[in-house]
Amino acid sequence: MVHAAHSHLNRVQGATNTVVLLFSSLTAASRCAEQVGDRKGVTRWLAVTIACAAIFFVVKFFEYSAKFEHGLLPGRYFTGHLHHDPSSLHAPLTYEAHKFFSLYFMMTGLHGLHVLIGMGVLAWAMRENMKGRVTPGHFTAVEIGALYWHLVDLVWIYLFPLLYLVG
Amino acid sequence: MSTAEHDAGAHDHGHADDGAVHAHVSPVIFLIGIFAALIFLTVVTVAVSYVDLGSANTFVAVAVATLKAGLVAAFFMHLRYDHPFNAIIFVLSFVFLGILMVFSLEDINSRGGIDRENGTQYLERRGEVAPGGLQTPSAPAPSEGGGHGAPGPEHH
Repeated sequence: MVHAAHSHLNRVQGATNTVVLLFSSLTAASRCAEQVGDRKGVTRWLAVTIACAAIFFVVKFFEYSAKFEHGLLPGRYFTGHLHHDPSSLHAPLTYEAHKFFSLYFMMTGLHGLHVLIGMGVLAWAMRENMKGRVTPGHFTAVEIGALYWHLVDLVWIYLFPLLYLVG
Repeated sequence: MSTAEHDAGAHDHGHADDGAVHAHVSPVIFLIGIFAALIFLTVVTVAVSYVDLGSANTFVAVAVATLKAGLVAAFFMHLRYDHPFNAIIFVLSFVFLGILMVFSLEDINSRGGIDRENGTQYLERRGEVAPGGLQTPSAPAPSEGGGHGAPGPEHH
């Protein structure tokens, strides 16, 4: 039922955000610098990770804007079938697509909330680090912040193919 | 694996149960290798999605995603170097995430359809009008056939 719907999701945007999140996971994993006392290195890696999260939201903004514009909204608010341009290359949306977009907005919205929380956790870890409270013997703040960030990445690893590629 | 000075407070009895926080220090070049593998798998999964394999598409997508998740968990999250019990908890949490998604999909697949003539939702099994209905379009419909935008909830 959702095969026509997912063709309207921009794979490029989804793939871009996948690469952004994977890269941010790499920079978060580079936090290992904390264990050898490289405080500036930790600050730098965490700053890059938070910047990636911001890029993720920029892409998501354009993605959501396009959906709103075309009436691709969840449930009863769905008007996508009225916007179909016969000259467009896309297949017309099925009349069942509103159900897919309910799931889409629920899942990506919940994930986006976690990205937001992750930015906060990482910013806190970065502040702790800059205040000198992260040492080779005590680096829990950075460690759990990075672990949380990896989890956000992991969920996206599943959401991207299921919502953007397969449907 | 390099167990450097971060083992300071611990004695020689392994990594797991002395209460201190331990983390494995991976060389950055190794992490970049994992990142490259993740990007490669992303390219693979996008490429495969353009080939119609029927229901195998979903299987391939989930299999590749699981492989990627395994790489992230094992090396970025250091589960590979951790006590196996943590890995068990971790995998179980993803089983529950899977249950959440399967039941959500099942819910979605069993909901009513949209009656395009009347602009209403109906329950497929009973043919009745489902609660909720559709929002009446304010934008002009592409086909200006009469009655399309009529908001009547009743079937004709």
